[in-house]
Amino acid sequence: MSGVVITGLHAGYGPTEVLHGIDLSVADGELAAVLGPSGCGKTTLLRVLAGHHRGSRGTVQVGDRVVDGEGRWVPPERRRVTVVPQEGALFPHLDVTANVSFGIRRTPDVVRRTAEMLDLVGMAAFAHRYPHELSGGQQQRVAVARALAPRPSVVLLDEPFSALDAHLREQVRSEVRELLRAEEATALLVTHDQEEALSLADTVAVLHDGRIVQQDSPQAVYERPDDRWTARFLGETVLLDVQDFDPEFSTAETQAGRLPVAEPREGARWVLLRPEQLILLPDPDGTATVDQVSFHGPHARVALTLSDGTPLTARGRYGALRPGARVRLDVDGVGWLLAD
Amino acid sequence: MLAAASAAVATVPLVYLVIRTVGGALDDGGDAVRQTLTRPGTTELLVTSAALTAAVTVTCLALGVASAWLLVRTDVPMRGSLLVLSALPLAVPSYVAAFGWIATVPGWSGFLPAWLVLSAVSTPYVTLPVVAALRSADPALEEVARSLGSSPWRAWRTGTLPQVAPAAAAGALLAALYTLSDFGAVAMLRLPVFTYAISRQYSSFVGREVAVVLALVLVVGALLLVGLERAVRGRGERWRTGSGARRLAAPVRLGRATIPAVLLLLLAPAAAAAVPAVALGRRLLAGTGRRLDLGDLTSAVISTAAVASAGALLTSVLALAIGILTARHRGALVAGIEAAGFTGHALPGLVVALSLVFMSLNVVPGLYQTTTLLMLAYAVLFLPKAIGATRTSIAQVPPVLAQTARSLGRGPVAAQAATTWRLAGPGIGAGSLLVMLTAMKELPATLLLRPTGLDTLATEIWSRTNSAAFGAAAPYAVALVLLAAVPAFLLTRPQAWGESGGSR
Repeated sequence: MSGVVITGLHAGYGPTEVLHGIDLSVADGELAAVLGPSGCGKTTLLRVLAGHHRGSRGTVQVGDRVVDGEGRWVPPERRRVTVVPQEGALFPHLDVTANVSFGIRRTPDVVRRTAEMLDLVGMAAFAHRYPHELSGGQQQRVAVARALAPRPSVVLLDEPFSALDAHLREQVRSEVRELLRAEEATALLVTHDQEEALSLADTVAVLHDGRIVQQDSPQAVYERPDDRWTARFLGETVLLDVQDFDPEFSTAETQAGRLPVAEPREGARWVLLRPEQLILLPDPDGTATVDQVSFHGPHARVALTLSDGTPLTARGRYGALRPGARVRLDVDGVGWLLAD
Repeated sequence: MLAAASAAVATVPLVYLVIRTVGGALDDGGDAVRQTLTRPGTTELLVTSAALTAAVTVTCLALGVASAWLLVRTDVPMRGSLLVLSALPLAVPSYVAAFGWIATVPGWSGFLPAWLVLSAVSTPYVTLPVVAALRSADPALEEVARSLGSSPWRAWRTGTLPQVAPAAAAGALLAALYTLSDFGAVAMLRLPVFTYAISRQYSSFVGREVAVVLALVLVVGALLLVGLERAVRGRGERWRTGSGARRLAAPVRLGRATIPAVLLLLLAPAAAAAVPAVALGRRLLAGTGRRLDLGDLTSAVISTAAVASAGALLTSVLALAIGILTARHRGALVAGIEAAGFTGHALPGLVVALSLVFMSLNVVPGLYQTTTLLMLAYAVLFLPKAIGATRTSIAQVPPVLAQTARSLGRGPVAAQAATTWRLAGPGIGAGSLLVMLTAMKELPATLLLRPTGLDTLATEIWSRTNSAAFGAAAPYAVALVLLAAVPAFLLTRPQAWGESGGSR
């Protein structure tokens, strides 16, 4: 297993350029997520990494080997980069065993390794079933086993859980995470699902319009995004205008009062809070009015309006609040300053 | 590269026709061409040919799609036997079917019997590919349409028809081209269409230039048909988007419609096979003065099988190149190569044969009267059948499978072999069988190009019916139908992995 380093990668189709200089690195044994809305170039990036599409500029390095760029191009079968495609794409004419052993080269290893992988994904009892006899979740597990069986340098996961229903998705996700850990695999997950990227990955790279706008730990991209687009893409936001900044106490004056912020920032214009950071205290003299409460079970989402008309969103155990109630605001943790 | 070479092989007769026409036009300033095209007879030929082709194609489409739907999506009884029966007309050469009808209704001739015979004989060209397409079509789309409030008929049109349309269009194209270039049936039923006229002009030395011009018009007609089919097939990518596995739809209950449905399914086999079979049987029983030579019959059977399978092999190899190219790529060059592959089918076997005689005598005299030249004629004539099957089969395999195989360490060729070719194999094999079947029945090219002393069943039937020895021809006709029934039967076998839930 080894890492991936992508430097200044451009790629496109004919005159249309889709990737405009991607810089991305995945450390050995790490699971990185590339998170972006549809049409941002995720699939193209994945195809270039797998070798099904050639980059027009820049380099892709797997381990210490350049596989695309610097005048070199390694065909897919010699990259040791395997893919778990969307919806699995199992070979319909091969049974589970034959699918999993498909990529294993060294003959003495095949039987043992295949059995090991089937055990790992809990599919040993289905070894001789055909893909159409398996459920969606089972197909996906076999697809992951097939990709990991040849001990690739990197595994690429192309929205592998999007075809599964919600509760199954959660389960297969954590199974796959465990599997990747057990195999110490370097993996790159491509997805448009924030929750998936944040909960699974060691590092999240946010892809926007063919560029990586930020790469950091899941917590960092969520709590400390570089700009408003990234902040909004990763989850609901509470944005308050910065009226004044006090560097001594690291606080910012906003329409919701004085708030603690993490660190100063050049040209800061907004304070970013996440809805779960807002604490609502019922208070007849409070500065905010509850407009709407939607109950989700573990939490309730509350829409509020400040006295100056600024709309806010809060999330927490506020199922008992009623529209029209007045509340006072407090903040859990610190805010994050954004310049643009 | 190979695809281009295949296309080049297929266009040899066309090149010959153009050279002859241009050469003739240069000699006389184009008078012969103008005269031929403006003769009142030419317009008449054009109208008759177009009307016959349109009538047969529409009949085949309606009957073929309806039959396929009944066979795949309903609870029609004896489904297996009915499927075999519906392929049976493929085993009957048009001239044998026509002979059977003349023997049953003496003196019957003209448009109506030609329409009937050619429709009955060509319907399986639509039925079989649509059966295959329906088997692999995703029933979910139709179900979704029903849930959205569509009537069963509209749901079928929006959900299933688009999935089977490419197969139906390819089949209809085969039926149309078959009709346009059929010689045996129209000659026996005395319907003046293009092929009939070309053969009459060819056999007279003065009419050769006329025949060449008429053949060129026929080629133009065929190219129009190919263009029409491409327009129907469209640019859409057809592999399913659902998750890996295939699901079969619950069969529609026919109830009181069962008997009409069975009768509908029996229509083509009855007209193409049962009526001629009864006529042949009567002739066989009536006997003749000439004694049947079993040795002659056996050697004719063996040479028919040998020549047809060798021809099918060559054709399949050439078709594979074009099929792979056209299933995965689009563009002007690709369209040109594909259209080139289809030219041979619209040329009457007679024209292909004579053009190959001309080419071999002028370019490679050593090839004249060899089986190689005969194989080449079969390849030119039957490429369209094999291309259609190859292309449709390959287009149904999602490209992601081959890409996945490459990521798992297979080289470009090995990855295709392990996925696309393996999955498209049954369909491509069916194409080869279809070619073999057709090659067995082929008459004019075999007649002209066979090496001296090589007698096939088709040529034996022809020489005996020509000398009015109908009774003596009957055993050969029966042998031909029986022999041709073997690949026809194999064609109806369910494809290996799709039906049984996988094998090997």
